[in-house]
This record gives sequence, structure tokens and C-alpha cells, in this order.
Amino acid sequence: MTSNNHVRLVVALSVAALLAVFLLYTSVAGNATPSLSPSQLPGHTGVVTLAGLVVGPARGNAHDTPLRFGMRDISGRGATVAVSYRGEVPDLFKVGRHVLLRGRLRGATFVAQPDSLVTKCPSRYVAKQPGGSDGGAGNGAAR
Amino acid sequence: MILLCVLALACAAFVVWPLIRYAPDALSREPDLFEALEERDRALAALRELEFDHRSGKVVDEDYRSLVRTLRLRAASALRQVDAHA
Amino acid sequence: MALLGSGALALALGLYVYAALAGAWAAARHAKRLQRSARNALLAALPATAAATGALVVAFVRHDFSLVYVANHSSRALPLAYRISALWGGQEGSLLLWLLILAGVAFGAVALNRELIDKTLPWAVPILAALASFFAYLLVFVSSPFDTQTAPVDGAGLNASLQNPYMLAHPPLLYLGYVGLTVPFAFAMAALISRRLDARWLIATRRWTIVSWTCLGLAILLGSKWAYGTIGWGGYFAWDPVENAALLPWLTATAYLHSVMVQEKKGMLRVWNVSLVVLTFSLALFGTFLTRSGLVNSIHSFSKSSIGAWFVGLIAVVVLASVALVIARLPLLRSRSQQLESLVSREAVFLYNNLLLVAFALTVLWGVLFPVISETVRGVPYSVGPPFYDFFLRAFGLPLLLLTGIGPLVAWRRASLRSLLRGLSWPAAAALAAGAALVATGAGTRPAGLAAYSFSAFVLASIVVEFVRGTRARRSIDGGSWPAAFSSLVARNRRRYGGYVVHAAVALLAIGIAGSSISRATVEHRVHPGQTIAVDGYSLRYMGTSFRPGANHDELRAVLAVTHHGKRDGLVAAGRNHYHAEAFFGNAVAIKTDWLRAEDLFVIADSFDVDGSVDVKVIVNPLVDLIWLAGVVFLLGSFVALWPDAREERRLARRESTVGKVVTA
Repeated sequence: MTSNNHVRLVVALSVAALLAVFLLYTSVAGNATPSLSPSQLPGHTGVVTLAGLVVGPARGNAHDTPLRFGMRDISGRGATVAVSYRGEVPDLFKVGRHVLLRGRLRGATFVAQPDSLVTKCPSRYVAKQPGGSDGGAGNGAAR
Repeated sequence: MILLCVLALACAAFVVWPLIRYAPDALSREPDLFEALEERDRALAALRELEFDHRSGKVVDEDYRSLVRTLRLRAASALRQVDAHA
Repeated sequence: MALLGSGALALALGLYVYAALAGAWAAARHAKRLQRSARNALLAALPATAAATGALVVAFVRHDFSLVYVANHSSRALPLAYRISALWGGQEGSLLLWLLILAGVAFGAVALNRELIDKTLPWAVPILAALASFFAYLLVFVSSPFDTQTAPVDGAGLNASLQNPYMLAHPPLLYLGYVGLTVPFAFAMAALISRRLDARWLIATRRWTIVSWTCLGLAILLGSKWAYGTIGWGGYFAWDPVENAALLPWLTATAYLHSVMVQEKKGMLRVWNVSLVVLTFSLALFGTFLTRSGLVNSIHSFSKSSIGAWFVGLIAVVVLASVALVIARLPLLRSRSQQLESLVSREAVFLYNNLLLVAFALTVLWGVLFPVISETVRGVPYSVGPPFYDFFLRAFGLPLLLLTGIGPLVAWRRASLRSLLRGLSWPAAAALAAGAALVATGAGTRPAGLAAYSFSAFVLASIVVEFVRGTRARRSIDGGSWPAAFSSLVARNRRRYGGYVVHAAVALLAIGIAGSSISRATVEHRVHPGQTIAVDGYSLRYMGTSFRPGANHDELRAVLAVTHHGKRDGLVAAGRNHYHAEAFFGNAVAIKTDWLRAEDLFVIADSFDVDGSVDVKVIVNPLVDLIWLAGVVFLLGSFVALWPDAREERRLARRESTVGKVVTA
């Protein structure tokens, strides 16, 4: 039945077209960026996304003077990486939060791209927590 | 606590009620009649829509002529199917 | 309260499990009485769930901090509205909200379709009940909102970024969307199991699908508006995994709404439709899984909790069972299917539209899962950014936009070249005119933007043509005035014309997205009182600061006087709030909307210094308000489409009674 083959043909062509578009894109527009934790960072010289815990103290206001702080693995262990950032600082940013940054390692400092700082919503918000991270079981905003 | 007990009892009653009350009835067997009726309604609706589209100018005369023939045949066969099952 | 809550939940769990097990047994054995009993259990579970929810709400209202959940998400100073919305501010409460909505939706679907389920779709009850049992089980044994403690003096307060009106509307709407999609899924599976593949399950679930899809769409727009007005970034959709998670089922649901029309008109695409329902529901479950599990890095996601594993299990069971069922019924699904007669016909356009929507959904899904996949393969998670999504939005979205304009103008079954040219001539002319005008005024520099504007013009013109032609034809049949003919036209086919209004919303959305992403102007300065900052025809003079203390939070604002092209245009006050209980500073952005130009002036004030100076960032967002307007038009269109159609209901009733007469004869 030619009409049945019509549908099959259209579907097959579409799948092929989709793949073609995909390949075109990934070859032209560049690759995805790796998402690393501070302990994995040394040695990577390209643009990466750094995900980790903010360790203090945090100095500077990110506008006239760069915001400088340290970042460590979410587990709290491992070496601290020095970070320098300029741009918008999300409300939720503070020492002890999980953050994500895009940038590259220059020498010993991770220089972030402007406005690339993202803070994760904290988990179940408990006011009187002794220092350290806010991580733990439970959730913050439901969405 | 009392509220909870009241709620539980009400739910239990509601659940058990059909088991006591209704007599089991015969299984209703649905023949292909329903599908035939649907096919008939579909064919008639298609004819109506074709008329309207022709009138509003979406379908040009030669398309209309060829399509209306096909649709009328389809509607006729659907009506025959309904009669066959009924 | 805790006792009532956990007791009611346990009761609900019991009822759902009974409904699932007894319902399944009864459906398999055609045991009518047991069937009805199972159905009653499903219905009775709603009051039980409502009682549990009510208990939690009362606990919030009364500041009952002996409940761990209440203590963790509210405080004495928290306003009442937010205390109630804190119900869904955390994991356990949001699960309860999900269950409540599922209970309500199941109640409605089963109560309104009693006869249909009794006679032909008995499996709908056990399927709905089984899904509800899952959530009830989680709430009773894994993640209960009714855990108790010795009550502290005051609670921890609600996460300050959730203390705004959006928190009252966005999660419930989102859940209505997600959960509502359970109904078409359950009915589809029930139809497959019972081999009742006529259109009754489709017709019964049509309204549920439209309502859920509308709620989901509105929830996404509301979430975007929330992000836009709250976070100091001036954007509204970041292609964040959690945002994408809500978009995915919406895309496939849109495809489903269109292909369902093809099945109704021509009886084809049955396998495709059933697959789409399964895919949509699975994506809805996946959406909530993604939000709770912390599987991928997201601004919304949280630390990995074990609840994610439960959801993976549910999704796996749902997908495997449904796919197996569809494959088993494949011959039956294919048997009465009609064929596609022409590649140039409305059915074909719907098919292309479906393919584009599903393709786009799959690429977004790929983007969301890419970190997980790359971590498994390469050891390090790689993530794709907005450029990936923007590229495919253009690659799939622009053709889709074009098809939105073409579809309504093409006839069913077959359209010859002549009719096509005649139908498309006016809208095409409008599109070309719009494009030419844009190029002439210098606004057509980017090809994607130019295409978006021209295609949108095409869509809007085609909608106008459809309404005009239809009204004219109606009037030539019925006589009477133009307005009467118009309302008669719409009344006879509410779904189609409501759908056209939704298409108009899509065109507005496209214009808004194109405008606001392409031509934004941003400027940022540190200003002292008296100084001015200027951007794109606006001039803002920093007048000074204002401070307002409050019980829940203090408000610090930088006040600026706005002049637009020399004319005074009021004041804006941007700054931040200090929340006492949460010890948290939140950004308070100022947005000034110029409705005539659909343009937003976006002001962020930060880093208040003791010398009175403040860091001010001003963004001009052109055409962004068309996006919010599109939301309103979208709602209007859905409303029209959902309005009950007396004529059609009579037709359906006649069908049922004919069958009834024959069977009893």
C-alpha cells in the first residue's frame, strides 16, 4: 500500500534529517563543557564548569573589586581552589553553599566568566546549623 | 482521633456497600456496533466539513468534485456496516 | 494533628491498595460488584487524602512546630498566605500535594465517567489506584510530613526566595498539569487492556488532556515570569534541567492534542497516539523525579536523596508495562487504521508538526541527560549550555511556526496545488510585507529573528483569513448578521477556533522571544545620589535610598526617577530585602513596563555603600511583555476550546443509546 509507505517514508526521512541537523550542530557550534569539582580541576586548562562548596572568607563585591573566595569539593574534602569572580551575585550566595561557575584556570586562580555564578537552592532550610555545608537529606523549593 | 475513626468507618461502609447491595448483572457485550457507529459519524462529519470548506473557499472546485465522490462512497459503506451490525 | 494526618494517609493508602488489587481482579473476572466496590474505594480515598492535607494546613496555620515539617518551613512571623504555601515548600509536603491532586483528578475522572468505566474501561480504576498507592506509600513509610519532635520556640522560616505570590500559584498549577496527564494515560491503558479501541476513551479524556496541558503551559510561563522578576538577570528561561523537565511533557502533550484530531477524523495514527500518551506521562513522572533527585546540576535541584531511586523504579515499571501492552495490542491497533492519502493534506501537516515537536522534545531530553550519559561514558560530566538549546529551538521551532500558519489553511485528505496557492496567498503576502518592513526599518539584521517575525505575521494573517472565510460561509448558509454568524461559527467548532486563538498566542510568544533575546540593551554603573544613568532612550536619576522595617523582613531600596525620551515617567525602587528569621538578603528587582511598546525597563540595585552610592544595572527588554500577553491569550483559547458543546454531546448520547437498544433487544 503506497499510502502506508508514505508515512514510513516521512518518518524515516525525518529521523535522518534530525540526525543530520544534530551532527551539523555539534561539529559547527563546539563541544559541551565538562563539569568538574575543585579536586579534579588541576590540569584542565580549557573552559570548564566548576561545581563545589564555597569556603570563606569571601572578599570583594564582584563589581569594582573582584569577588574572591575558595572552593572545595562538595564532600568538604580535598584541596581548596582560589576563585576570582566579577558580575551578578545571586541572593543565595554565601559561605557553605553549593555553587556553579564557568571559567578557566589561570595559574593558581580559577577566573570565572562574568555573570556565570549560579547558586543552588539550599536543602531543607534549618536555621541553627553549626558551620559547614547546608547539605543533607531533604529538599528546598519544590518545583 | 474521633474524626479519624468516623472517616475510616464512612470509607469502609462506602467500599463494602456495593458488595452487599447490588445483584450481579449480566456482562454487557459490546459488539462492533459502536465502532461502526463511529465510522458512520466520522464519514458524515467529513462530508459536512467538505461542504463547508468548499463554500468558504478552502477547497477548489476540482478537488471538491473528486473528494465528495470518495466521501459519499465511504459514508454509504459506513451506513451499510451499521445496518449489518444492528 | 499529626495523628489525624498520618492516620488519614494510612487510610488513603489502604483504600488505594484495595482499589488497585480488587479493581484488577474484578476487571479481569468481570465481577461487577467488586468493580463497584473498588471504584468506591478510589472515590473514598479523596476525603481521606483531603483530611490529611487539611491536618497539615491547620498545623501550619496554628504554628504547630511539634511537626518537623512545619518547623522547618515556617516561622511565627511568616504571613498566613506563605504559611499555607509552605505546604508545598518541601519534599514531603509537595508529595502530599501531588497525592491530593491525583486523588481529586481520579475522583473526577471516575465519577464523571461511571458508566463508561463500568461497561468498557474497568481497568481505569486499578491503574489510577496503583499509581496513587505509590505516592501514598512514599508518604506513609518513606517521607512523611507528619514526623514529630519536641516543639522549638520558633520555626526556621520559609526559604526567602519562595516568599512571593508566585509560590502560591506556580507549584499547584504545575502539579495540576503533571498529575492531570495521568488520566489520559490510565484510560488509554485501560482501553488497550480491554481491547476497546474505539474513540470513547479519547473523547472521555479529551477535556482532561486540554486542562492539564493548559495548566502545564501556564505553570511554565508563570515560572518564567517568576525567574524574570526575582533574580537579577533579566532573562526568563535558562534551559535549566528542571525548567526543561516541565517543558518536555508539554511538548509531547501538544503533539498528542494534534494527532488525536487526526485519529478522530480519519482513524489513523492509533499506535502513534497511544505511544505519545505513554511518553507524555513518563516525561511528567521524569519531570518530578528530576526535581527531587539531584541527578543533574541545576539551580533548582537539591542534594541527592534516596527518593530518586523510588521514582526511577516507578518510571521503569510504567514504561516497561505500557510498552509491552502496546506491542501486545499492535495488530488490533493497526487493523482499522486508515491510510495517509496525500503528503499535502492537513493530516500530513499534523504529522510533520508532531515529528517536529517530538524531535525537539528528544533533543531537549538529550541535553538534560547529557551530563549523566557523558559521566558514564567519559568519567566526567559534560553539560550543554543555552547555545545548544537555542540552536535547536530555531531549527525546529521556526518550521513549526510556519506549519502553524499553513495547517489551518489546508484541507483534510488532499489539497491540490491550486487550492494551496489560493489559500496561502494572503497570509504569505502579509508575511512578506512584514519582513520587508522590518528590513527597511533596520530591525531585520538577524535571519532567525527576521524569520520569526515574518512567520508570526504569517500565522496571525492565516488565523484572520480562517475566521473571515468561515464567518462569510456561515453567513451565506444561515443568513443574519456578521456577529451572529461569527458566534455560530465558533460555537459549532469550539475546539478548532479555540485552537486558532492558541495559535495566535504561539505567534505572540515567538515575537516576544525573538524580540527580547535579540535586542537587549544593558548598562551598569556605580552611582551617587544625584547622578544619572542612561540607556536606550531612558534616563534614570538616583534620588536616594528608602528603608522600611518590618516584622518578617526589612526593605532597603534605591529610588530612581525615570525619564523616557525627555518625558518624565515616574519612579522605580530597586534594592533588597532582609529576612529576619532566615537571616537572608534577597534581591528586589524593579520592573517598569511600557505596555504600548511591550517593553520592560529592568533595574537591579546592589552593593549599597555607606557613602550613599549604589551599584545600578539597567536592562531594556523589548517585546518581552508579549510573552506574558501570550499566556493570557493561551488561557483564553483553551477556555474556548473547553467550552461544552451541546450538539456534540447529543450526538454521543445518541450513539450510546443506539448501542444500548441493540444490546438489550
